[in-house]
Amino acid sequence: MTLGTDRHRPCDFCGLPTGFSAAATGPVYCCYGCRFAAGVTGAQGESGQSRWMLTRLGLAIFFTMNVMVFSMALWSTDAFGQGALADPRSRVLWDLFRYLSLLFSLPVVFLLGGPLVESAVADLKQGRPGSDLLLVIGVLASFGYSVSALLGGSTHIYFEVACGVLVAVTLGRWLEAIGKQRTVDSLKSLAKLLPDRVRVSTSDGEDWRDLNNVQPNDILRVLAGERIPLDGVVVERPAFVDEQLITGESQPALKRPGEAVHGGSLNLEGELVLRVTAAASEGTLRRLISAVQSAAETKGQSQRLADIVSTWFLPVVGLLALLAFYLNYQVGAGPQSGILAALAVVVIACPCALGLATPMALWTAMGRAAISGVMFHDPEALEKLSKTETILLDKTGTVTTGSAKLVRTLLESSEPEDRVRSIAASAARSSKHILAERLAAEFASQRSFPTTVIEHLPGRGIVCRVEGVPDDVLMGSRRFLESRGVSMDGEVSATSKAAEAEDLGWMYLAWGGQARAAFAFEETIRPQAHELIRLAGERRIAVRVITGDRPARASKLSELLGIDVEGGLLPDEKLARIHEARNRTRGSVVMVGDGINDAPALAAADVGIAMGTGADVSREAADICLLSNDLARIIWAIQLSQRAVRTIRYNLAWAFAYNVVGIGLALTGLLNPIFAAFAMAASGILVIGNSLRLNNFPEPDSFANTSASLGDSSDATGGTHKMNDRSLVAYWAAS
Amino acid sequence: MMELPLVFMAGALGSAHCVGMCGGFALMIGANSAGAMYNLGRQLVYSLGRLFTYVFLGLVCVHAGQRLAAWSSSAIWISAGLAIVAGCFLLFQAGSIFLIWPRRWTGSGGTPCLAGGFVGTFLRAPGLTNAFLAGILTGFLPCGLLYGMLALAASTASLSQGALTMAVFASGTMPLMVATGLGGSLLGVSLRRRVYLVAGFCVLLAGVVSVARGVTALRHLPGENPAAACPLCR
Repeated sequence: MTLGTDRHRPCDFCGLPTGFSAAATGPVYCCYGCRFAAGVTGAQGESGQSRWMLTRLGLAIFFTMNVMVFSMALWSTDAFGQGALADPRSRVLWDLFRYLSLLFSLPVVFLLGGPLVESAVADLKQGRPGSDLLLVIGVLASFGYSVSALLGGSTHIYFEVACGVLVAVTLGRWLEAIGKQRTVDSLKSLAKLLPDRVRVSTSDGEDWRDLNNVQPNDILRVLAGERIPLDGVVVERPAFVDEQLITGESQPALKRPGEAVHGGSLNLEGELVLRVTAAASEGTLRRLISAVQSAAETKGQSQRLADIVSTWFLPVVGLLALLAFYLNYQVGAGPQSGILAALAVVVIACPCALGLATPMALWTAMGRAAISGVMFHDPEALEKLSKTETILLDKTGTVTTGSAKLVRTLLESSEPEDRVRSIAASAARSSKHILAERLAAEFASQRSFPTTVIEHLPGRGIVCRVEGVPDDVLMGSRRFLESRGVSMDGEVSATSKAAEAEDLGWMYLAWGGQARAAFAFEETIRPQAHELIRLAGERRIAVRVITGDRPARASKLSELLGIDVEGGLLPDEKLARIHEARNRTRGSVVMVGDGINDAPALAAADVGIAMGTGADVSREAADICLLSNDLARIIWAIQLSQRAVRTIRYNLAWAFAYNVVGIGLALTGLLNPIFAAFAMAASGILVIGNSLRLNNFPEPDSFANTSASLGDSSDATGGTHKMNDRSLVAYWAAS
Repeated sequence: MMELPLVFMAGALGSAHCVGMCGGFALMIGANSAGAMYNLGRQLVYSLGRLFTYVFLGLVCVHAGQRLAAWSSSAIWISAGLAIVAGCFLLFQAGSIFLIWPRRWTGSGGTPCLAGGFVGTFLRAPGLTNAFLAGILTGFLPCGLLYGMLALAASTASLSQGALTMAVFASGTMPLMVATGLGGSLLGVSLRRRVYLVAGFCVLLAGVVSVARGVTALRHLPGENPAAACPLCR
């Protein structure tokens, strides 16, 4: 992740990154369109100021239509052609139309030119003059020329050009701004799912309170069918909760007292009483949204390139405009054709489409992914993911479910059984390893002793001090214990060694150089692992499992899955495998793990995916967090990223071709600036529309299947939660 | 121009369909108006806005036709061709009114039009200016019948005739639209459907006349006055 130096202030209207640094003061907009749109929506609702901006545009359109009618009449052959001007009546009409053109174009220049000048001045003040400045110069030049031509009695007046360009540019950019805002909307609307007011239990009954005024430790009551407004812990009564919005998991989860619930989940059944753990501004949902936003504010490689291009843009286009003026002036058509050609160059060379091509598609794709529980930390990950050729999977917690079952416990008979269990529970609670966590859960009722961790070796084990034990306590794999000089000849290890041929995972506890206990766990393969392998096979993506587990178990897994499984790898050997894979293929190597034990491996791969992170989207080592445990969603994300990259290519190809052809035409003076302005607007809107189509990317298949079963099981509870989160967004937006 | 009465009828009866699509706009215009007279004013101004846009579009089409004619040497050929194209377009519209071929519905699914909010703001805003601007903007909304009329206007090859055609068409759409905006729906759905069918005959007739005009003009050598030769255009 590239944070910090690359952060820019997001546009105050559409939320996309701007070129302004985070330190910029006052409102900041990424373009003139957003400035205009912010003026329209800024003063909330339908109040005077906001409507005035729109009324300005509406009136300008009306006046421009008039100017164009007069212009068409002036050009028309049936009115004034073929010497009709010899007729004095016709001559009067002709002059009238010419002056009416001026009269009707004046309000347009004042109504729309004003905001454009403001925008150009704001850019200048920030020290980054932009295309608005060129536009202002061009429009004023053509208008000024037309006024002097009219007063001088010349036939060449171009009021319709100044008006048409202003209207088309304003309208086009305004529509662009609305479109850009829409890409951000889908995410922001998630936050709107939360109720504004919540039921807070107080000492004297119940009280409705504003969501933002609820503090941690307040007690809330949430009825069945309502959304849980804030993160909290269940206090009374168990309830079924739909956490799809947060974790992407479509199966309802049973939450018992003492268990945590996320704000934004839906209470399916039963009345829930919960104690708030985080205020609205720090809740899970807020963090999810800001994670995606900060990802989008991080500039990808292509975005940095666009920035470089835009610094060159102004001088280059300025020179091209001068060239166009010179060429067309020289050809002999007079200064007016020079001015028109230069204006056409300035208008058509607007970099909007080029600048929007990449970020719009990336941003929309990331928002779309987030809605289905795939969080990108970095736009570059999306580009890399599209080139996936190899997927490497960690085993524990990734291919197999995290919830291993403790199936056997061997205890040294020389020690009191309860004491060994308590020491095991103490050590296990200090470790983040999946088996240790499982053990801690199994021994939850066990008394534990104060423990300090001395050493934590991911994937191998931990060394800690437990109060009441004279020596260091070690917990981990047989290999780890052996490497620390623990004797594995005792009663426990001998029995376990005999049993190690079975398909079980063993974890040992030792102190004083002697193994004291051994625990055997059984793991289950995730059902989606088979689907991932099948789908990847269809797409010719290689899938392999690399694991630190024993080779015997690896080959067993390989048999079950029908893919390569390499076992007995130490963390640095895993890294080596990833580097090898990266050297072998030209495409990207994706590493999938749980994001804790295999952080180095995730960081070493082109794309690191952390699984089942739930709301914990801040796992730094991963480029992508899968909120759910649905492995098949990786393929879905790859497909989405490929669509996004294809969209970017189309966008860039279109924008580039359009600029080259357009500038070429404009240089020759063949392109009327009005057409250039409409083409410019159309081009930008095309790019946005093309990018917005990514929002319609279908849901992952397995998603659909599981939501169907959820629907079946929950019909009795009212059925509102049968809708997936997208339709919920629509439902809530409508109501 | 013997089509003009037909054009008016097509507009008047065709607006039975328009009410389905644009009637909502008229109702929105009416919703914010206190008092029937004020509402009537707003409705008229709104329809005037549409008329303005229709005439404007007609002029643009005529102008484009003229450009096309000036570009090619034989102006009569272009004008006759346009008349035939316009006629065919009207025949196609009539066909879709009679449901001979299904009407293509665009706009189902996908993202709603970005401009929606723009037009909506004017529709909801009080005051005559906003009603007028709303009319101007809704006049640009896509409508098959409108396109047929625009083609017809272009085929007249004259700014004044084209403007007249569009103005007549727009006035034709006014009575029903204004009535809708004033009193909600005066006509039930089934009645509107029947009226719309009658409009289909008007469109069909206008199409036939336009094609006939074009064909007759083509059958005469350039140099002869085609209008004089055409029995329908006298």
